[in-house]
Amino acid sequence: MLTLLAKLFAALNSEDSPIQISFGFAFGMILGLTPTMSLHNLIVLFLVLLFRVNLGGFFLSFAFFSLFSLAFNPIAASLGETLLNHADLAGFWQAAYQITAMKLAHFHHTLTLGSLVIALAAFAPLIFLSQFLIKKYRVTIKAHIEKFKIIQWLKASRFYRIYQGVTGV
Amino acid sequence: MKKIIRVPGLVTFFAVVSLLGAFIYFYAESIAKASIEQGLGWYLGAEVNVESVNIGWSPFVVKVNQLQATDAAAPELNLVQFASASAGVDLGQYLLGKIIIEEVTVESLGFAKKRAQPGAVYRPPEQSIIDELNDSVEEQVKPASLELPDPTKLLDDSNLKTVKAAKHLEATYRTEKATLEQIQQQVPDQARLKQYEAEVKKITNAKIDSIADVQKLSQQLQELKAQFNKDKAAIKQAKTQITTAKTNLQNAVSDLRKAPEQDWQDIEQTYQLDNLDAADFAHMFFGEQARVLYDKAMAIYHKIKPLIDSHQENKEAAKQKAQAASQYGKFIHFKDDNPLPELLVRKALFSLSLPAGEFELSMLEGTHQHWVRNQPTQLAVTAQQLAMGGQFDMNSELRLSPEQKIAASGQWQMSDLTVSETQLSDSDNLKLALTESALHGKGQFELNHDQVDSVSHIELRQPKLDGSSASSWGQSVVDGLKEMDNIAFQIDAKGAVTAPEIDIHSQLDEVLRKAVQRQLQARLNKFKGKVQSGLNDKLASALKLEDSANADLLNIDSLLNNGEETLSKLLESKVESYVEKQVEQKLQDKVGGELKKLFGDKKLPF
Repeated sequence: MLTLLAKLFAALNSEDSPIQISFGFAFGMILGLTPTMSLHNLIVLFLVLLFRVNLGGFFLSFAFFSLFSLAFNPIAASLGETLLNHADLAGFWQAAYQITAMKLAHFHHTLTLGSLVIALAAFAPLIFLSQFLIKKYRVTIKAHIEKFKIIQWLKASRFYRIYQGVTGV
Repeated sequence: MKKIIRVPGLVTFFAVVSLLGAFIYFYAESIAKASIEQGLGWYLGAEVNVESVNIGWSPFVVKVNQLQATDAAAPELNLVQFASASAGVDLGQYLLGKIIIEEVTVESLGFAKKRAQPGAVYRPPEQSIIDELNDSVEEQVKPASLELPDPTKLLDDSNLKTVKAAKHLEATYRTEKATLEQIQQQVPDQARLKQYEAEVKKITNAKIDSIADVQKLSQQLQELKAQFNKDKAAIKQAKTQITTAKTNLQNAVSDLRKAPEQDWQDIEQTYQLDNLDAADFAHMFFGEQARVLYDKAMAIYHKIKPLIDSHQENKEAAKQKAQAASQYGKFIHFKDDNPLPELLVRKALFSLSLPAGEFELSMLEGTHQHWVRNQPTQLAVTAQQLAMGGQFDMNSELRLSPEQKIAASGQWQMSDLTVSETQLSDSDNLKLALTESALHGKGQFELNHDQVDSVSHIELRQPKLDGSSASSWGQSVVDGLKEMDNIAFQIDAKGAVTAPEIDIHSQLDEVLRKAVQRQLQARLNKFKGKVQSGLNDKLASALKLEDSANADLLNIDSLLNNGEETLSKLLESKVESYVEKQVEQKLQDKVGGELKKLFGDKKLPF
C-alpha cells in the first residue's frame, strides 16, 4: 500500500521543472476559478494529461483557486453579464448562440464566461510569476524549510524511503 | 516530443474514456431497465415490470418492451401497460436541458388490464385513477318520473292556499262576530223601541192641569230626546263597524274563492303538468347520459390542469432565482434561429387497447410551449373497429398561451356503432330499453380558456325499443317511440367548462308530446276534477261560514235600520209641538183667568 502511494506521489511530482510546475498551477487555476462541470474543463483535463504538466501542482492549484472562487464568483458573474450584454458584441454572441457546441460550453452563462475570461487573461502572467517564485523558492527558501522538524520527521519516515526508492533519488 | 507529450497520460485518458464508453454501451440498457422499474415504482408506490430496454445510439433511440405498472389501489390490475414504447431523443438538445423527442411510438397501450399475478405495493395508495374515472361516471340516472301525484295526499297538504284561506275566513268570521255581538248590546232593540213609543204616547196623552205638569212633561220630553240622540249616534257608529266587517268578510271570501285555482296552478307547475310542450323526453332519457360523458371529460381535464399550472414560475421562485444569479451566475439567452421549447415531441403514435375498442392516436408538435414555434399540437384519434362496431375518428388542435390559457378546437364523427341492450328508463312506472340500433354522430367543439362551445348531432337509426308501462299514458310513450324510424337529437354545450349549459333538442319532444298528450289529457282532466272537487268541498264548508256571517249581518243591519227609522220617526213626531201647544194653551187659559179676575166682563181696549 505504501509502495503504491509512493509511486502515485512520484508520478504526481515527476515533472518538476519550474515551467512544468507553472503550467500545472495555471491549468489548476482555470479548473478552480471556472465552474467545474463545464465543457472547457474537459479540454483542460485532457491537456493536463497529454502534456508533461506537474500534476501535484495542478491539483494543489485547483484546490487553492476553488476556495478563492467562493469570494471571486460575484465579480466574475458581473463581468460575464457585462460582456454578454455589451452592444458591440451582440452580433458575435448572436452568431455563437446558433452553434450547439458553444451552447454546450455554456458561453452564455455569466459566471462561466466571466471566470474563464479572467482565468485565460491570468494564464500567461501566472506562468511567469510561478516560474519566478519557484526559482526563488529553490534558491532561498527550500534550504530554510528543510530545517523544519516536521520536514525532518517526514524524511526519516518509511514512506519517504520507499518514495526515494521509486524515484531513484 | 517525448519531453512535452505525456504518452502514458494520453493512453490513460483514452483508456478511461473508452472504459466509460464501453461501460455505458454494455450496461446502459440494464441500467435503464433498472432505473425505470425503480424510479417509476417509487413514484407510483407499486411494482413496475419491464421485460427489456433496447438502446440505439445513432440516432439515439430508447425502446422499452413490455412495461406493466401495478395499480397500487388494485394490485391485481395494471395501472398502465404497453407492448413496446420507443422514443428517439436529440442528445445534443438534451445536454442543453431540452427534451426533444423526434418520434414516440407506443403499441398496445392499455389501462386496468389484469396482471398474471398481483404486483407488490410499496406504500398505501391514493385513490387509483381507475376508480376516480369510474366515480366520475354518473351511475344514478334518475328515472323519468312520469307518475301523477296522489290527489288525497295533495289535498291533505296544509300549505294549500285553499286551506289557508278557509282558516283565514274562519278567523275573520269569529272576530267580526264578536264585534257584531258587541254592537247588538249597544244599539236599542225592538223592546226598547216599543218602550220609547209607549213613553212618547204617554207624553202625548198626559193630562196637563198646570204649568208644573207642563214643566214636568217638558223635562220628560228633553230626557227622551237626549236618549234618542244617544241611541242614534250608537247606531251610526255601529253602521260604520258593520261596513268594515262586511268588507273584511268579503275579502276573506274572495281570497277563498280564488284559492282553489291558485292551488291547481301550483300543483301543475310542481309536477310539470302545466305545459306538455316543455316535456323534454329526450333530456329525461338521454340528458343524464350526456352529463356522464361530460363529467368524464372534466375528470381528465382536472387531472391535466395541475400539470399545466405547475409550469408557471411563481413570483417567489423568480425572486430566489435572481438572488442566486449573482453568486452562481445566470444564463442569458439570445434569439435562436431555430427556437425549441423545453419539451417537444415532434411526432407520437399510440395504439390504445381500451374496452371500447382499439384506438390509434397520433400527435404532432406535442409541447406545452406552443408560442416558441408558433405551431399548435395536432391530435387525431381513429378507431376502425370499435367494440360496438363501426368507426370513430376525431381531429383536433390544441394550443397553450404563455399565460397558460388553452385554446382548442376539433371535430369528430362516428358511424355504424351498434347500440344494444341499453336501459333507457327503469322506473316502476316505465321500463324502456333500446334493444338494437345503429348509432351515428358528428360534432365539433371549441375551447377558449375556460369557455366551451360544442355542438353534437347524434342519430339512432332503425331503433328497436322494448318497453312496457303500468300506466296507460306511459304505454303511449312506449308506443310512440316504437313507431319512430329515426331518433335524432342535438346536444349543445356552451359556457364555462366547469358548468356548461347543456341543451338537448330532439324531435322526440314533439312526437312524444302528441302521443302522450292524448292519453295524459284525459287522466289530467280526471285528476283535475278530483282535486278541484276536493278544493271546492273545502271551499263550500268554509263558505257555510259566509252564509252564517251573512245572516248575522242581515239581522243586525235590519235591526239598525229599523231602530234608526223608529227613532227618527219618534224624533220627528208631533209630541214636542203638542206639548208646546199645551203649554201655550195652558198659559193662555191662566192669563185669561187672571185678567177676568182683574177686569171682570169689561171689554179690554187691546
